[in-house]
Amino acid sequence: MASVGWIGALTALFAALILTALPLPQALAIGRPALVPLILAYLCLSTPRRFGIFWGFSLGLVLDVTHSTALGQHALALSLLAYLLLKLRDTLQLFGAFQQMLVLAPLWAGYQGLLLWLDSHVGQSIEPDWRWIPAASTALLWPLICGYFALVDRPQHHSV
Amino acid sequence: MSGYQFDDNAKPIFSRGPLLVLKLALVCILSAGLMFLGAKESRSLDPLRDGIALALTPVLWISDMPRQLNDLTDHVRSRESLLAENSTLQHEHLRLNARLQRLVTLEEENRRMRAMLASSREIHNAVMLAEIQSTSLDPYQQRIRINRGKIDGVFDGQALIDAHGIMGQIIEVTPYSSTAVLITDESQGVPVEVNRNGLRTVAHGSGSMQLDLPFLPANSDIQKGDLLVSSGLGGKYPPGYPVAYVDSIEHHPGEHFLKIKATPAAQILHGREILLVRRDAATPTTAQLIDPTAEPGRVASAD
Repeated sequence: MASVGWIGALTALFAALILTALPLPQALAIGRPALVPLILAYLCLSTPRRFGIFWGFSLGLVLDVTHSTALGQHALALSLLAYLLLKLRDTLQLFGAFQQMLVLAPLWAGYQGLLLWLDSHVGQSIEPDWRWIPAASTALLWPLICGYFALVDRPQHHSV
Repeated sequence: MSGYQFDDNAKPIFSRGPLLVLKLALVCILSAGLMFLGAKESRSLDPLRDGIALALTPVLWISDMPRQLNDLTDHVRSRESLLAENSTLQHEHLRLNARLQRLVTLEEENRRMRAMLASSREIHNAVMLAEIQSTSLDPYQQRIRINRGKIDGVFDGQALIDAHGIMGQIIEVTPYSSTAVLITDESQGVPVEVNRNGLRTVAHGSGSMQLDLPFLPANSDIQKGDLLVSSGLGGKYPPGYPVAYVDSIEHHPGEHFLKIKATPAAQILHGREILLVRRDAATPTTAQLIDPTAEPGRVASAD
């Protein structure tokens, strides 16, 4: 995992936000992967000097506004996610993308679970059965994200 | 360019461990504080929310582009279909105008009777036209975002209607757009009465495209097909607007209450134009509705 430059990172986050806000038909919206946490996870693993808990917190606030949830809900979940990823970083770097996908899958489930739990405390309507589909779709996207950043990084390696 | 670059993979000289935990604790306390404050006094966080929403405007604008492209293809429709539509609309206009003429006399009669009853209930409310920007991102919430905000005079709790009935109410206002929760959301209940006999109850959202009427005893006078209109008792929704049509009535022996499902009168899944009801504005009379030149500006439209 080579570190990601500012431009690549911010572009990816911007695109992830747009895809998060894109209106989808109900059937697809149920399975919409959590793209912003996914990109944040990659950035935390690849570029921990720049991206960490505070980024998780700020992006979480942004997600809270896009989803009209209580301010702090996604912020808390994303900060915890960033912390866990920074802790797991040394181990995860030994693995390939597909092994990482398997190790990260419980994290996405935990992320959804935490949001669900906070939702119930803040008083939003919940329907837990379908909430686990995004966890699966997010996990499956991990190798794609790794591939995307590998492609984006390639020109930089040539220039050095 | 120097050949040496910082290597993120190198072990740091000083462990980041305790610092990380400290950071985490800080943001956890911050988030918990925000959630607590938001739950206690929802207004106090508005500036922060507005700021983020403003910064997010380009994101929302871009994510709305597919829909706008779709609109563009709609604009390039054939001339014939537009002509046909035009003629049907003209017919419709004539027909409705004729009905409005009849309404003038009815309204006069109604006014006299109301005066006799010393009731000051409003018959019409001024409205503002708005357009749906996007529907809820979360499939478990029945919410929409509309293109009118604080600048246009939208306020928290304002009722939303379409041409057929009540749709919902505004729950969040940002400077240029606002979020509304639909009556079909699980968190919503609309005070209604049966139009036929004035039987009062509450229609609850079910999270799907139907409403539940959970509190009617087994001997209530309610029939399939009954129109439920808003009673205005909760203070949120204006009285007298259609809310739903009773769809099915089940009575399980041994249960105190009927199981009643109703379909919203508003066409929630269709169309993009909605109306925001202004309670504060002056109410136009039917005469002004027929002839807008009678006193311009009374039927307020932000467009």
